[in-house]
Amino acid sequence: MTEKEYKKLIKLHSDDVFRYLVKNIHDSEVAKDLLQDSFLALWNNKESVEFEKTKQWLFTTAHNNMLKHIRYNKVRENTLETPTTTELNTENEQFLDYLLKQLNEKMRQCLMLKEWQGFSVKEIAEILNLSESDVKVNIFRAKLKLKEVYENK
Amino acid sequence: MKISKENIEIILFDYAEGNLSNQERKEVEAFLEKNPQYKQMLSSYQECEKLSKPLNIVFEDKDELFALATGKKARKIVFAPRYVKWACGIAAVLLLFFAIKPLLKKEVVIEGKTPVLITQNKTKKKENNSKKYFSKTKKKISKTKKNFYFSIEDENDTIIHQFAFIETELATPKIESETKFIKQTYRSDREIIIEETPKFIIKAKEIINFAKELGEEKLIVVEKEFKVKTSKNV
Repeated sequence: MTEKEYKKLIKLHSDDVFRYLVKNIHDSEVAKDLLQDSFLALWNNKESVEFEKTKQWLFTTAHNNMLKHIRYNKVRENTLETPTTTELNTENEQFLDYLLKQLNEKMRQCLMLKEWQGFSVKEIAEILNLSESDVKVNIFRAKLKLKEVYENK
Repeated sequence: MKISKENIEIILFDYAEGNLSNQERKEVEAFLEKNPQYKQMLSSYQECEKLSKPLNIVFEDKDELFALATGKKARKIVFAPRYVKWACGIAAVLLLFFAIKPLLKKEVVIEGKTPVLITQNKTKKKENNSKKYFSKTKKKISKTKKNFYFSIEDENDTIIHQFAFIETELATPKIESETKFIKQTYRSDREIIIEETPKFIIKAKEIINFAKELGEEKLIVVEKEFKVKTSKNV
């Protein structure tokens, strides 16, 4: 991977990875650090990472970094009461944020990777280290949950 | 394909996502006919719209990310060291000077009259007059008040105008001697210059305009042998 390619990957994927981290970690500063770690790891492993699979590799690394951070800080999603530091400009964005918070960790991650990034079930399973069946169930349940929350609001 | 409560969510996901063969789809549809509660579940899943991306969340420091890994500086404005700034400043001043120098030397005729000159080569001819003349003016030159005078002559060495700048911001002329006074360079920070080049022709209009900038009262026309159109306003 050349520097030019690396720069291109930053441009292509940094927003997506950052968005994924922010929505899961609820702290944009921590998300920024985790993103930096992930991209730094990509550069350090540039010889071994296949260029075509860098997006999946980045999400896997970012996700693992996030898990390490959560474990290290003993932070659990359910105990997080602090509001996200990300600005929510519109009612839609605020509502989306509310909806995502109604999902459990796995549901949210599976859904975001599928809906926002267009990863296949197999790729999501690899990123999150789950079985494909688990991914399918989580996505299915996440959507039903969202619909339920939406209708009851 | 065996359909049960344990795997129904997976099968419904595959059905909704189009991952099943025709035969499998028919089996699912038959199962749903018998179990309407799952049919409702499938409808709910299919009705759920695609989750929109929060596009307001973007990562701003992409350059920093690149710099962090590669060790190369991001493309941003980096302030140069002080000496570079000084060098640039000096270069800019020099460029400006050379750019305006031709303009300063441009011949300008006082309206309707012959060019007016301050000449070095004519100094010798009228040395006596100069001495007389400048001995008179020298008394009025005060370093503290920053007054100075200069004369404008025609081609016959006749003094047409004598200008006096009184208490200006201009640098006080350095007078080495009376005789050299006439070829003294009067250089101000405003670039209104009487150069020591022998045939520099000063722009009378410029002087007047300059005097206006300084303040009308600071320009005194000591001798006035013909009228300069714009000088009336001064």
